Amino acid sequence: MRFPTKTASIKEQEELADIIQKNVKDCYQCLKCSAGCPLTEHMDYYPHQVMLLAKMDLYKKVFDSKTLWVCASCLACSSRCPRDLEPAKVMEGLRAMIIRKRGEGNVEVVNPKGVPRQALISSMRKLRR
Amino acid sequence: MLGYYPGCTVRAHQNGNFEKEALAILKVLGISVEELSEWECCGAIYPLTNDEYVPLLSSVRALKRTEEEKKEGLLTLCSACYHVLKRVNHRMNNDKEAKKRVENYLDDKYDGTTKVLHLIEVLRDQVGYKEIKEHVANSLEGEKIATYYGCLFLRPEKEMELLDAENPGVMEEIVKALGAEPVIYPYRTDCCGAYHASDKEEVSNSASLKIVMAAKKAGATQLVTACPLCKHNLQHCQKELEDEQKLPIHYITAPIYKALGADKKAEDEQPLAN
Repeated sequence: MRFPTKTASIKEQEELADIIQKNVKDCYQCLKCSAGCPLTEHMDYYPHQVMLLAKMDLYKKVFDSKTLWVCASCLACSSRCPRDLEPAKVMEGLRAMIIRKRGEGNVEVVNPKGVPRQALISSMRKLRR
Repeated sequence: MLGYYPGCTVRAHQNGNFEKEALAILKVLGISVEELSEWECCGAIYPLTNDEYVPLLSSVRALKRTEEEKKEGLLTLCSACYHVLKRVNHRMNNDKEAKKRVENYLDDKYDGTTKVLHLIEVLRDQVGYKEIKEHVANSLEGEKIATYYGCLFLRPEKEMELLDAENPGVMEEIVKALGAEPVIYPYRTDCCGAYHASDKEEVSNSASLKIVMAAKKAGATQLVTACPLCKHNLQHCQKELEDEQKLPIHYITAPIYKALGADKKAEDEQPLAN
């Protein structure tokens, strides 16, 4: 991954910290989150890379990534994070930022027939405004 | 007397017989439960954001009602309901801001005395493996049962405090008590793809298929779980396999029900409301 030298404004960082009450800058990139994530094969950035991008204020890259919408909040990363940063919570915070202000990310429920209502309610709550 | 919280998915998808079997087992094992006089969906998923309070309300109502009806605890069958209710309970007892706001919305006080229990927890702590073993009428000897925990049941470890999230063993102990052989295989605590069943099917299918294949490779003849969504995903991912290649997926209650011979003992059971 190549990082541009110019970083984005501090605003997003504050917004994220406000939503999740965590400081992503505490992440020390141990890669435990990515090592245990069961859905990495569908992601463009691995969870630790999302953490790194957020840490470096490169929010544009994060908001464009597929990863946020692939994360199923299974909390394997959160449970194992040695810095108690809860990457699943960071993902949720980033999703919330997109859904609330940036108007994107409203996914369509493509296959409602036969799907348990638990899945329908969860995906509506997680991925739609 | 425990308060019983069925949850939306268990109540709506009766084809799995989760509720019928669970209630029959509890009756045979001498645990009395009574459905809450009124309940609504727990919200299906716990909000991870710190600034959203409305998703907590419906769970708090159930917790509050348990308190009002003077039940010893709130029993759930579904892992997701258990996860949400327990975490909301934890938050109400540990986050003053959340408690204040939720009580403001509800215009009511919640004392925080409700204890959220899962069927597996009741079988482990209030019944015990020995007691289960004594009640076994038809031993399941020869069965090789793989147990799948999924994510919501175990994590986050410091809030759920039910099982060791990295190496849980409760369902194996129950399976052993029934006379069957538990199958240990990789991925039994990995996510099945959860709610992606409704929007990105390929994600949940590939995650679930990995689990099913691992269980099959380890020699399982069936796979049991406690979550309706896990059961759906694990079953659905096999839809393109030949019939003889498919691994049967059941609720954890199915082998217990069979072993205890609960179908005969619970004949006078009242029909379920729906």
